[in-house]
Amino acid sequence: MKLKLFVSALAIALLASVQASAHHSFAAAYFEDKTTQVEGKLVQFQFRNPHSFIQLEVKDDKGQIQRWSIEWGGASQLGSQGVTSETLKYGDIVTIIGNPGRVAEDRRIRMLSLRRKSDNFGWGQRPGEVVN
Amino acid sequence: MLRRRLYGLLLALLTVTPAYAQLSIVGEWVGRYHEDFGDRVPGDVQGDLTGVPMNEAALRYAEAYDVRRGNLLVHQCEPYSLPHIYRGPLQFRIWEEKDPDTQEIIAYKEYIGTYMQYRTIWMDGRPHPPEYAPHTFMGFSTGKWNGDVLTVRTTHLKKEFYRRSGIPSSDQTSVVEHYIRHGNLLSHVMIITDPVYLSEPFVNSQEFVLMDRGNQSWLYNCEYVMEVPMDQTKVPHFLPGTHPFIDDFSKKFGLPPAAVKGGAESTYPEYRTKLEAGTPAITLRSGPPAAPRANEVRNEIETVHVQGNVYMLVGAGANIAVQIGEEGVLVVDTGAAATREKVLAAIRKLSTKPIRWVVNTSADLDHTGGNETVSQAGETVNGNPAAIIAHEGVLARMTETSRSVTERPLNTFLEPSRDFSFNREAILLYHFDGHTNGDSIVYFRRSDVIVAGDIFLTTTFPTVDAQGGGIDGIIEGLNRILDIAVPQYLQEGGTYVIPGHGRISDEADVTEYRDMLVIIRDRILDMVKRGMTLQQVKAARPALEYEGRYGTESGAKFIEAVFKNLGEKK
Repeated sequence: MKLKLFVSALAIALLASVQASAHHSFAAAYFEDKTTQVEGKLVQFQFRNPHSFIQLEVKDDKGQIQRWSIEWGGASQLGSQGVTSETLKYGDIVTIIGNPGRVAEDRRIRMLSLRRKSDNFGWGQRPGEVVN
Repeated sequence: MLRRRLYGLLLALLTVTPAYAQLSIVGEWVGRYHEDFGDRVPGDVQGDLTGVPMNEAALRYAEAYDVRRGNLLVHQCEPYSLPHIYRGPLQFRIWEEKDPDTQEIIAYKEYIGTYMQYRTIWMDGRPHPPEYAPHTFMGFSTGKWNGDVLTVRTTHLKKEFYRRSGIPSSDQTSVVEHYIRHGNLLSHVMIITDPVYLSEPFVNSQEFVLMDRGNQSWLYNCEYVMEVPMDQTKVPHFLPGTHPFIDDFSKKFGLPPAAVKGGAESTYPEYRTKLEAGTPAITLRSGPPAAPRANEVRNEIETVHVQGNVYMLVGAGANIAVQIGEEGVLVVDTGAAATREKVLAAIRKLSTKPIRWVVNTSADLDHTGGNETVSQAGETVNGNPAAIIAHEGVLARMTETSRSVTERPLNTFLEPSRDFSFNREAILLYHFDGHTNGDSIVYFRRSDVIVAGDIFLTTTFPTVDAQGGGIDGIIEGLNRILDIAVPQYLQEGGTYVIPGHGRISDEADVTEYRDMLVIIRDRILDMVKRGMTLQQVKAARPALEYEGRYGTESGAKFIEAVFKNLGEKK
């Protein structure tokens, strides 16, 4: 019985992850063999399908504010990991580590992990906290 | 006695079991991804062009394709089309729609979890729609059981992709599917024919498992957001020979680029011998010439209801739009002179109310040949022939070409837009120096229909008039259509667009046409800047991947016109 339940749960998890991939291939849009880190103020959190997006205001080397687009998993997949549309809010100061986009001027990152400064909330460090 | 009992039993069985019980394919099915997982689910690095019998045009398309195009608002919610979706990640549900009186199957319905798409396979023998009907991502499907195999034929598909890496499918694609059930497994075989981008039928199969336990992973809608801030009028693409990632797949897996880009030949076992003998050259076949255009001046004028108060008349040369209502009739363009009486008769069949207004989208003869007949048959509220409205560029052109006064627009405008209300509907005209210097598009706001004139065609490349027309104006006009149009769901339906020539379209179709023109414009502009001559530009074939769809001859004229247009601006 336990095995059956486990198999069903696995199947649901697989389906959720399968659906999250329907938009485009992350490997096509990002350098999966590189990582980069940005810290900034969250100004938009679009919790949606096919992929969620965070817009971040980040100060560059010259002190100018630049907007970065952080691509995350689809709402279906993130929802199965406990992330909701309320998880992140406007004004949150967050540090994000992820794969850089293939075109530097786009300033986009595919999220691998996130840490919020105010309460140390994190995503991407625990098993299963991945998007594909 | 025993014999009598057996007969009785047999009779009872027959009353509960039909003479021939059709296999059921009803249920919830989920894909098995043990084959081609990397391609079908997560997707790989760029440049995976393997396993598809693509032709030269498809390769050219893929070599220019920038995946960031999918981030544009007009692209981000495009679903996979029929030839692609079953190769993607999905689960789907099939149910039957039955005639309540006969209990015969009218249709199979499918709900596809990925992007929440619906599909209908008609089983009642109805014909496929005419060529001027809209295309959709799921197309129009009819099915027939052959023994235990359900065979389905689909036409009227939208352009999309065979693979996310940029191998395109065209809107001329047709698909034959076979559904074969083996217990709790469903084999699904697709035979895809695409004269524009495939050199031979693309056959693939996939397996689905009947889910005996439901799940809640059925909701996967798409919401439009600005994923990555970018200029929505720029179409990401790579100029020929500059795609920086096109060989990533071949490098990652150690495959010769020729094998990755080998098309049909590389899908056969014999190709292995060729590879072992050395690196073969890429010898993709050219696509066949574009299908000849149907004669647009026909013996009969057909009338199609687009939506709301707007109808389209087909067969008069250029498309004609007719808006009807309590106040009377408004006609956008009047077709070729040869069909003017038939056009008038067709309008009269739609409404006997007076024709009050005629709008011209340009001065072209195939759009204005019936002006006099239609105008004179109508009358304004003060008793004059129906007023002809157009941008003043139309009047100038008709005057220069000595068209009769009764054909000319006397109610002209010179401002960028004009609006008025008729039949309790707002009608907005927007002017562009598009294919001529007098082009207008017409938007029926309540009916939600745009009449594009000749800046948007589904039959050929646009013509760019040497006197005042311009490629940038055409693109500006198409961008305006994209601003106005709102799809109903998943880049489909909603606002309908009547092209100058061809089939009823929507935002997704205009988007593809806009993308194509921007890409070709950018290529020619780059060549002009590099000092290439017209002959060199033509030899480089900057429209190669679109010629199989819109015609080589039309493409050559378009390239020449754009070259001259951009050269003048340089």
